[in-house]
Parts: sequence; structure tokens; C-alpha cells
Amino acid sequence: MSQMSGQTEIRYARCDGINIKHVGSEAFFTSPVTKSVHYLNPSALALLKLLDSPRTLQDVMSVFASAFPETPPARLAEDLSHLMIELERLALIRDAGTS
Amino acid sequence: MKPLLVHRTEIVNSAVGGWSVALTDCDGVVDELYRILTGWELTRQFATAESVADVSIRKTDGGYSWESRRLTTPKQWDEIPPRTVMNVVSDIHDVLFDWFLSANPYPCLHTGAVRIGDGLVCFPSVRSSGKSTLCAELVACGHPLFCDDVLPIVPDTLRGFAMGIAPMLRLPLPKASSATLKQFAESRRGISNQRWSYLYLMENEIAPFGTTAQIRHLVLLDRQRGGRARLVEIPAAEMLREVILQNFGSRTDPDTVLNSLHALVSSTPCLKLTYSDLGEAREMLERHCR
Repeated sequence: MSQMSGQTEIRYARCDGINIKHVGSEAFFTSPVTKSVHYLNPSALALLKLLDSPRTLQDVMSVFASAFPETPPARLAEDLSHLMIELERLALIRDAGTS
Repeated sequence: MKPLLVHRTEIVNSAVGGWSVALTDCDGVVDELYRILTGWELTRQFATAESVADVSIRKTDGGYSWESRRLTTPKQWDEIPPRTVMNVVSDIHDVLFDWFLSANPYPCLHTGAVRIGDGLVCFPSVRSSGKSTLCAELVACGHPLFCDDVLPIVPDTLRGFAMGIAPMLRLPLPKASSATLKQFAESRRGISNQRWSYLYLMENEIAPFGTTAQIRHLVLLDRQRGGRARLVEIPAAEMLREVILQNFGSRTDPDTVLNSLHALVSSTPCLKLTYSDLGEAREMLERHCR
């Protein structure tokens, strides 16, 4: 997942047409890449909801930093970056152009 | 002069399963298939020159060999040919699921299932949780078995579909087994090896192939070394994680799997049974799930 393109930053958005089933604060979805069912924990589900509108990684970081003020920013950035790479690999989110 | 060898080939055919297997010099295998399969409408006949079967199994000096015209072959038969009737029977048992699912791509629960009252109580598999033993305990007390390992789910109705295959018990039985279960297992003991034994169930003790029933309860098992049995509700998400993890209908479209299993856990009470004593666990299920 590339983050910067010159002075602009890539935005990410949730892919359309994903079959997601919500159960309490968790969810499950089918990936067109792996052709299997995957589990979304509450954090991943919150990220996905956030990406209903295209956002940069920095946008996402800001929201999660407010929600998890006790988590060191470097750790949060690393976790979010890994999560977004994984969700992009599973074709759950996509590159939505630059900001 | 070498003695003349006369090979004997018998063909067993399942009308409802849509398969036929030719067995050459496989003494005992067809008889065992008749004992472990209920409701498959089996017929048997000696082969003629014109006979054709989907699968040919032949006993040779190096073990049993398998040739398929169109159906999947058990894993490892080429590398390690089985040498016992028990192995041949249990491997045919395993591929029956593949054959069924190739024609009926249903999601499957890896579960034991017993009919209590008018519906099924399912025990999605958790390793070493004792699902097969608990199922046998329930069958011994009059509740018919639907399956001890795999339960296809009909997607449109979410009803469990019985495969009509005899259960297998791991040997020896747990020390905590009730006298009822020990006596039952002994009286129904079928073909076995050192680790496993089939139970040959009576007509009213196992649902025939093709029987369907509504799933009334999903129960995760948590076997402990001691303590009283207790049954508690658990979140649907916990059950869905378990059944999706255990689902193995790889031929089935993942959206069908997710939609069916989500609908199932959303409409069915999800419970966890913690127990150490089989009899106590059985009584608790009988009280709660009738």
C-alpha cells in the first residue's frame, strides 16, 4: 500500500458489492480474492465504515487516535497500515485516487 | 502349473447417491457398506462383461487399489494403499461427502447432531470436546442420530440433511462414560481397528440418508476434568466464528456459506455446554432442548 504520491496522499474507499453480515459488533464477509469467508473484528469493521467515504491513511489515523488516545501513535500507525494492506489484499478496500 | 485364479467382482450401487463401486476380491467390504449406510438404497450384483462402475476397487498383493472414472479418490491411496477392510470402508465413507457435495453444493457444519424432540441439537466441533461420545450417549437414551461428523445444510430451508452414515467412536471410551453408554457401545460395536470402531445402529437409532430436520439448538461443547454441567447462552458471533471456521464445503460458493450460516445462527439459540460427566450433560440437554 503506497501512502504518498508527491505532495498528495492516496485515498482509500470500501469496495462496492461486498457481502458483509453483521453479528453484534463483529462482522463476516466473503472475499472475491480468496473465495472464502473472513472475520472482521470491531476495529476492522470500524475502519471499513470509515471508508464508506474515501479517506487518506492520515484521515483514518486521526479518527483512530481520538478513539484510542492511550495507544502510542507509532503503534497505531503500524497497526492501521497492516490492517489496510490486508483489507486491500482481500479486495475489501481500494485505491480511490489522490486527495 | 500355477493355480487358476478366479476373480470375483461385485458391484454395489446407490440409486439415491448416484454412484456405483465395483469391488474385486474385496471380501467383506460390500457387507460392511450395507451395515454402515442407512437409506442409500443400495443394490449389489456380480459384474458381467458389460458392467461399468464409477469406481473400481481391487485387492492386490500390495493392498487395495482404486480407479475412478469420474469420482474423487481418497487421499494417499496411490502412496499408501490401504490393507484392511476397515480402511477401505472408512475411506469410502469419507469420499461419500465429496461425491454428495459435488452434486449438492451445500454448506456443511462439522458437527455431531441428534434429534431431541422435534428438532436437531448440533454440537459444532471443538477439538477433543467429546461430540461423538455425547452423541452416542444421547442415541443410547433414545434420541436418533443425524450425524456424528458432517451435517450438510439445505440452503433454502436451513434444515439439516442426514447422510445416513454410521458413527465412529474413538477407542477406548472415556473413563467417565456411563454404564448405559458402555453397554450400548458394546452391543452395537461394528468393524473396528485399534483406534476406532463403527457403531451399527438400529433402524430407529439413525436418520436415513436424505432425511431433513430443523436445527433447534447449536451447542458448543467444553469438556472439563471436573465440575457440574452448565448450559449458558453465547453470542451469535462466537458461534458463527466457530461454524465458519469448521465449515469445509469447499465446493460451495462462499456467499452461500456466509448467507446460510449467518441466517442459521441468527435464528437459532446458541449455547455452550460445559461438562465433565456425560450422563449429566445428556440430562441437561434433554431438559433444555425438548
